[in-house]
Amino acid sequence: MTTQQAVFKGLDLQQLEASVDKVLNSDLYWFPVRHHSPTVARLLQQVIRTRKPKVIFIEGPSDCNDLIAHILHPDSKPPIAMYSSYRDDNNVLNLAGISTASKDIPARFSSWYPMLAYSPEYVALKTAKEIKAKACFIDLPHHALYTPFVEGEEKPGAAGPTTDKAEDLITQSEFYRALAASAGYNSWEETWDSLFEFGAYNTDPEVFRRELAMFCAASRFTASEQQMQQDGTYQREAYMRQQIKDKLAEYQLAESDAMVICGGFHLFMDETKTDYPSPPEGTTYNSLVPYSFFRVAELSGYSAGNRAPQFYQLYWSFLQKNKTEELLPNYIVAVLKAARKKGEALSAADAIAIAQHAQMLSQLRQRPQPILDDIHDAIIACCCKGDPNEDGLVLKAAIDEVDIGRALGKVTDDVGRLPIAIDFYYWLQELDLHEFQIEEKQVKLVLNKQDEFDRQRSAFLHRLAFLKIPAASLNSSRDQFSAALFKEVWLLAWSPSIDSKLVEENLYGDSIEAATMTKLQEAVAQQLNHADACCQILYEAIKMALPSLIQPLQKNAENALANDPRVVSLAQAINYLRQIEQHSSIRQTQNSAIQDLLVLAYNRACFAIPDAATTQAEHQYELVDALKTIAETVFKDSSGAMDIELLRLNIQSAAELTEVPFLKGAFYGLLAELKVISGAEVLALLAAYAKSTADILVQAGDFLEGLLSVSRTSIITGSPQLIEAIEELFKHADHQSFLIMLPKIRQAFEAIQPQSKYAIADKVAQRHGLKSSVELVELNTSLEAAVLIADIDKQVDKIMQEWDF
Amino acid sequence: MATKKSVQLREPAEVQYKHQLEALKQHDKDDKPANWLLSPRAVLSYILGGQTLEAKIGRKKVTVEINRKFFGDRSLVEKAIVTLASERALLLVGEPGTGKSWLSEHLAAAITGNSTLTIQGTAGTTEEHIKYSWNIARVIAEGPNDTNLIPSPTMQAMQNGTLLRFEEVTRCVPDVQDSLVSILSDKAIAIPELPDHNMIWAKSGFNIIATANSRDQGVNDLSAALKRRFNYIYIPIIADKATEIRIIKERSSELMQRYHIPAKLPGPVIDLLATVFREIRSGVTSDGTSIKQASTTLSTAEAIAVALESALSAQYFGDGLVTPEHIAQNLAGSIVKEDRDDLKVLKEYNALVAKKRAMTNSEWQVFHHAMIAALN
Repeated sequence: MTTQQAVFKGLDLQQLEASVDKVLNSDLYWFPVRHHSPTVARLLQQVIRTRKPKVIFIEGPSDCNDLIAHILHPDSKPPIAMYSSYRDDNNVLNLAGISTASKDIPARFSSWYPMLAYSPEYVALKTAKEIKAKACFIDLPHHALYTPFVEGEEKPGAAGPTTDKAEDLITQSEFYRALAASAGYNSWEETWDSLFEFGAYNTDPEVFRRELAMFCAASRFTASEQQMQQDGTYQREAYMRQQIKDKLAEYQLAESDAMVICGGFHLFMDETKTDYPSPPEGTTYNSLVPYSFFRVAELSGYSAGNRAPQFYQLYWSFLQKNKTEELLPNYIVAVLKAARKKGEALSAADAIAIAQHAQMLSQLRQRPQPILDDIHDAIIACCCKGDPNEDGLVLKAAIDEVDIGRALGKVTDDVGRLPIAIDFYYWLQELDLHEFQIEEKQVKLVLNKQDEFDRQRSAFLHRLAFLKIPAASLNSSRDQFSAALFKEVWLLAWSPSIDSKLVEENLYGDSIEAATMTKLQEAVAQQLNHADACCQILYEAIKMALPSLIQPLQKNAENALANDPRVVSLAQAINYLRQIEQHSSIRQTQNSAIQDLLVLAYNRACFAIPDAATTQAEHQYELVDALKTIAETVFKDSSGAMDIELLRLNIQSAAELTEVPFLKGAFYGLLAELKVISGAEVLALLAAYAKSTADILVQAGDFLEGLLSVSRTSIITGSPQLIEAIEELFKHADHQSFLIMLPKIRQAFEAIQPQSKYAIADKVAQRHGLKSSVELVELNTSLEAAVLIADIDKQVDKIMQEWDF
Repeated sequence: MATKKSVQLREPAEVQYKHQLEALKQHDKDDKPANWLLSPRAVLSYILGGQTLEAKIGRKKVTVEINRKFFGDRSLVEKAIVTLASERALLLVGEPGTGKSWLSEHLAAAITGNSTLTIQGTAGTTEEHIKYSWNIARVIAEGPNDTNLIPSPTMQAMQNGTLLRFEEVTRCVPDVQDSLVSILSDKAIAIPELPDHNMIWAKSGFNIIATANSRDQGVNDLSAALKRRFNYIYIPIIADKATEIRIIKERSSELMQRYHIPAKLPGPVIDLLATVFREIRSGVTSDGTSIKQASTTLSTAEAIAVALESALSAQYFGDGLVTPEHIAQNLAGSIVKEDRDDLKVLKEYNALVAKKRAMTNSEWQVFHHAMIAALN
């Protein structure tokens, strides 16, 4: 059986041809396209210029027709995207609390329709303008396909790119799968590029149209009917047909005056299916926004995406100059240049080898010329000296850089701003933060948190950071918990992606504050019973000055603290609550609710300690940090509300329960710090290891590490018995046991303060009769250093005065 | 006394698959690079299989099925074939047991019809092994001349325009490796001892397929100059379970035939073997439980070896049917090699994973109990 027979098995070729002929010979001229295809764009442009239709119908959301003028405005430059959002304010879809975190949050959906310079739809719009033809979008608005939710049904996905499902239908069709298997195509992109993108640019547009139509017909006739029913293909097609009919009537034009540009799959619409839904009630926004190659690449895998926008842009530019042979060398040189910048030693000889390899691979794979897959394979084969997933990472990063590119689009100012964007720019002016917008460079902003105006600015910038609007980032080089109390350093920088991000966030609210609150509430709903996350959200809400949320977030944190059994999470919650408490004391505001939460967190953490006695090795250091936090909290508690006895009892219980030497050391160390037992008693436990069998003795290192990791004071480290115990261990350990213990003992001493280390070293020296080192009696310093120290003293003094200490 | 008929244990690929090569040759309509027996596309068909061809073998017209020789990624084989037709040599790199030598042998068999021009790289490989040596007795008697020179496989490959296979190239010391630099760049070997005939030039079609174990990287890593002259093709461990099962099944049955073992290796037992290997290799079970990983590679070749050893045990010490018990008995030796901690890995796997499955699956039950006996 030949490949062709295998591929067409189950298909009636004559019927297929008849269907294709019927569509291609009809009065209405149909041209099949694929999004972001330079070859299709070029051939389509030729056809439009030749046929000169009076109207061009384009598969795109019909509620975005008002945006066409903005798309064609001389100030608008691709990559751009039509953005549509829908918010179900009245819960007509019954999805509040189903597809959203709670019943108070309405369901929202959005879609992007990106256009690149070589997108056939964009080229069609431009060419229509050139020949003075009308152009309009005819597809169903994206949100029209959402239907009220019925219990037991699959819930629709969250907001995201709504895309034509035709490519999914093609790739899942029997015809396509048989074709890909027999030809060895690994992806739809590879199939498309092999069959239609490369080598077809010089063919007669009518031949190309027929070949693509045949391919799409074969795919459609072997695709799943059920899937087409479910994904709304039939409804969209019925709507498109109706739109064409209505528009032709409105413009008083005949079918022969028109041209339809749509995915090839839709050329073979089922005319018996005429039903389509009306869009549900709610708030909708449509806008044109600047887009980027990076975001188009992110959508790769959907038909709205493109795996290598800059590579195809390069192809498009050579296509227009009729110099497609320039593509391969230019692309290879660009990749090698990017790789060299990243430190790869690649030569011109490598470039020649890659070009030769790519050409030969394309011949072996029966393609008219190398496609992106061949070139990638050639680059890796010729330049990666090992496992591509390890040794080829730099090379792959260089390939990605050149494939994707950094191009950013631009949109005319005539496009009205969405409410959230208006709010954003209003507050930039109001808070005197607009400077960075003009400068187009990074601006450093130091905020004094004791100043009311700066506090407002801080809250606004925190909201932007929380919404991930790429305008401001907190410079948190210093300890975030202490430094941020009085002063914050922000870095502000303008980015063209601010606008597109604002457009996305408009879905969550009409202002920065509203969007922040909505997203914060969503975050809470996802983190129920996680004490650390809930207290962090509360802390964020305080930083972002959202007073109306504080009370419900406190209640939420209380619930989480009551239900979270994890010591580490509870200790982290204590950290956040202590931070909030410090904020309150600086603002001189009383917040008894926070103090109550702190006590609750402390109590819960104490009770959770015995359960942590079996903590696995990889989490033991986190546990020790958590125990230290809890102990510090009770030591620093001046209110007396925290019961230190509770901590003592639970640590004692954990110490008796645990079989893990490291944890045993940590728990007994803490008991010494809490004065439950003496340092001598703990060290006797350490010394007891010396008298054990070799397999137990080697665990002494772990015990010591645990012990010293919590020893805050000199109870342990200052005790002469520590040295005695260690020496005892060394005496009893044979060489092999000593070697096993050594790394842990070293690690144990790493955890203690340098001064304690020196003190221990002195004691060891004295114990063995060595002389103590000569004391440093005179401190010599240079004049310059003395001046510098005096200057620093002055600055510190000034800051202390500002802080009113 | 009856004498046993001596049987050659294995034949080179070009002999074993000569009918397939002949059938492909008869159907090959594409252009061939100079001195290649088959076109690149036909070589690809030979390696990847999947075709059934009518061919005239001797005087008979027969149907020849081209079976799959290599189960890795198609693009990997394509890149290897293209490299051999280009200026650069090919270096197949990968973990032990991933089929590098197997692929190398089949490529040489399909491209030149001779997979035996081979140098096995070791710490004792010298420049003479790579270039040429002399018949010392005759040199003493006659002085150096053409007839006293003993050509290396490299020199033979160059003179005939065929492929040289260089196994485990990174086992050779760097000085010896570097003798390949001039061979690959100048395509010639200089013989300074023969003033009148001091250069041997390679004919079209000459190239080198080398293999290197990725675990040896850093031991005798290739010099930068040599690296530039090789295209590296990395052969990964098989990611897909169904393919790995298929390979274990096909290769072990082939080996069992070779060793005349009529034992039966049932599908569920192969499935169990592949599952154990894959889970200990990746450190994650099929239901997402994290387990300890062994320090050894646990390649598919190791799994095939366990299958073969199990079949031998079943044949000579059992009733000829391979059971999970045989697998358990032979598993420890395959997994616990250099590191005794790997014994703990196996014990943990048996206690956590096999025990749980033993509750609902009879094969796993047998395996679990046999493992307890084998590990204690």
